[in-house]
Amino acid sequence: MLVAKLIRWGVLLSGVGGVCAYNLAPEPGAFVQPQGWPAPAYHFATNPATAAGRELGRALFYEPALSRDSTISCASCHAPAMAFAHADHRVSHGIAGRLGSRNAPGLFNLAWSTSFHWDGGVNNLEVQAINPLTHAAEMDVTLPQLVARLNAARTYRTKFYRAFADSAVTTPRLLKALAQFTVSLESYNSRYDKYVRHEPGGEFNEQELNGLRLFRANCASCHREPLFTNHGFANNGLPPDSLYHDQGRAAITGQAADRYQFRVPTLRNVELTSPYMHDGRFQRLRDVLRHYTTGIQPSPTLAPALRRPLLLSPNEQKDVLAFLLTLTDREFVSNPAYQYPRQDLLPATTPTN
Amino acid sequence: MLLLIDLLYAVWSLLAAAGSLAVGPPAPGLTLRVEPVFNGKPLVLDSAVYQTGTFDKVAISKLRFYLTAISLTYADGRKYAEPASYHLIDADPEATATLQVRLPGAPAGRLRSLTFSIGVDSAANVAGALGGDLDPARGMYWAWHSGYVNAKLEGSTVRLATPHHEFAYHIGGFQAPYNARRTLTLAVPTALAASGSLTLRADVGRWLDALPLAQQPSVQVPGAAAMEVADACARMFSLYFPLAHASR
Repeated sequence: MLVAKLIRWGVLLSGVGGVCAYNLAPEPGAFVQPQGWPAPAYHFATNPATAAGRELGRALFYEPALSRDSTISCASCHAPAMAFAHADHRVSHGIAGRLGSRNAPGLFNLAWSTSFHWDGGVNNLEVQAINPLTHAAEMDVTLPQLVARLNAARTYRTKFYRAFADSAVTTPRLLKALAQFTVSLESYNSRYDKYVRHEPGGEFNEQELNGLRLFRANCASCHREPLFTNHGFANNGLPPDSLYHDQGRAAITGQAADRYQFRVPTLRNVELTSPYMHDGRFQRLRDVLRHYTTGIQPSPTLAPALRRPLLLSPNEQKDVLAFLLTLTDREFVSNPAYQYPRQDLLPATTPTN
Repeated sequence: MLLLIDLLYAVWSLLAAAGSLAVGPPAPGLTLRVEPVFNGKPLVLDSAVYQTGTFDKVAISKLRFYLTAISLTYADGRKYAEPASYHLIDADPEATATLQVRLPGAPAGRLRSLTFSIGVDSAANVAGALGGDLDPARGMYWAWHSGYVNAKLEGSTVRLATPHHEFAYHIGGFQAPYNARRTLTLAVPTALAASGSLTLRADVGRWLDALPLAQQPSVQVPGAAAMEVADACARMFSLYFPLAHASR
């Protein structure tokens, strides 16, 4: 009797162990801590990454059924070839051609971000997705609507089962799966990275070396290596926009001292993430450099580092540009783990409710 | 043989009876019932029309709040804190939220006081995606400025010069100096101390009377104004005790 019981428990436990090994064991190489980088800010302990969770997150990221009328997905504004930014679009585009007021940024190295959005209003990667999902000018769906829609889709129930050992779709599982995918988007193999690591393919020419020297002397206080951002906020001297009257960080803190301060964006993959600035006002990198050298608008909240003029000759600007192009990571944008999952999405006939 | 078994059964029954006597009659656990009222009368959403000190004909369309961090202090000094204590309370009878909180883990004994918070602590506000009553789909979460709405009160009164004569308070914010969470301790009346159930009254009339409703009919972002509305909100709670009315 006792022996039979023990055997039964043994079988049960090994079954559970098998499920765990398949679903819950972290994949080697899933998240990489690049050499010399700070510890990530994202709390992996409460959302352990698994291959099944990432696959689910990827399917959701590319899934148009996440928008109210099933016309757009996250990838509509965050395309892998553009380092997950939106080429040629100043501001975000929602369903039915609705326009937002800010530029959709590239998505990578999000594990190190301490806040999200241009105004830093979002405090955790997992809850960031609620914004584009529910905003009327973006995907315009409600969370209960979306959870019901995914629960009705057999393919997603199967995917949620694989990821969470339970086929029920819930808001936290949906958000955690999306975060497992977005936090896996890591860019650390640009030519600059190989230069820093003294690896083959990391050779810099004279112009790039001079660009790096000028960058470190003039830009690195905000765009700090290795992430090329200090994760802070700054008024970078742009004339306030007359269209949106965007006050930036002040809308979150309510402090006049934060007026016109916006997130300091990373400069990694900056070659691919045009247009630039929070409202996408500049199309070309040379316009951005021209702004920093001759276009700074005085203001009570102007960043202290920009209060004295940035003097770069036209040739020096070209050198800085040459350096910025070394931050492009082709391995990142072509990583097959990040691309459109052709076979996984719901058929286009998904009912829209 | 049969006799021996009978005898053993008898002994076991006696022991069991003695054991239960030793534990005593009061079962552990406590039921906390929330009772939404307006100036002492049952709160009926949308239909009923109430009166405040300043306004007559006030209608309430929404009352929701997070009742959290519930803890009990006993007459003998012991304390019990409910683990993972987050409850979404909704006055709407059709809501999926609850008006009743059961604390099965609370030990039996005479209570001295009830302590609870209105609103969500900062740890949960930065913890990412949560479920249950803290599910952001429950409609008590701000996406654009990450954080929970601690309490919502919406309604209308004809003399307000706002669109549709409406007022709306969505109170939240967890970062200093604008942490809008409020913690209250209410003494438990002696007559109820060992009853195993408490009724927590939420009197919307007292919330509205503590506010300049006409001057500030809408507060829906964290900040200094939300702090004042949170103070007013905290004034609506009392432990309901039927006998107290007779003695007053």
